[in-house]
Amino acid sequence: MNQERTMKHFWLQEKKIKFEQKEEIMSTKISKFLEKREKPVVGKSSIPEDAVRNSPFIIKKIGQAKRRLKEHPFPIELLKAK
Amino acid sequence: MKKDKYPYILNETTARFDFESTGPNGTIKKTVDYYKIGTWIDGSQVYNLAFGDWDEKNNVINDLSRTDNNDRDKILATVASTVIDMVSVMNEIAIYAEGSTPARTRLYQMAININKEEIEGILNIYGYIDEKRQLFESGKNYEAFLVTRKKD
Repeated sequence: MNQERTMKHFWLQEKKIKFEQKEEIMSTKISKFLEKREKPVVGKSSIPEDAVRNSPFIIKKIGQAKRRLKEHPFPIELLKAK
Repeated sequence: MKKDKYPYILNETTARFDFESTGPNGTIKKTVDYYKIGTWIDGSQVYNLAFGDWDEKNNVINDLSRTDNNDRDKILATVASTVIDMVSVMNEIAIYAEGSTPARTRLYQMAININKEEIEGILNIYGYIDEKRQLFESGKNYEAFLVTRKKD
């Protein structure tokens, strides 16, 4: 009886390890792709930050986006599935 | 097939990407600005994408100027590439994009279509049409877009 229980436990452990390994392979697929990408140059831009933040176009776009997402929130079912 | 794109500078503290378009009309500075507009209940941070030209004379960014440098696809590939860079840095992110005019929104749609091959394996793309959000389909004229990173 004990031996049977141990075997079952062993089998379940094996299954769990295999599942985790499979999950790990799946989970690194996108990350690996992204890691391989050429990284952008990080540095100081010649466009001043203040000018961007104070641009009427940028202010308008941010306001518009906030309003849109408030009026039409992203459906929870799509959120769960993403 | 990888699309030709412009190299860009990332300003990490502000999540802004700047690049220069070069062509018959000279060099035009462009910026892709990501600004956080909220957080969803699942913890995803929602960013607005704004893309425009740097108007040096008036010291502002705008997207209504038509500075045709015969490099539309290269510009669109560059913008799409910044989206991928944003999701590679942040797992839980949603990016919202809407043009200031229907023509500009169609430009975003074009950017998605042209770069679909590269982005569809990594991103979920949703379109907003008739007051509904749905998975992006080519051939539909959406009013706005939302992009999230695919679950690993």
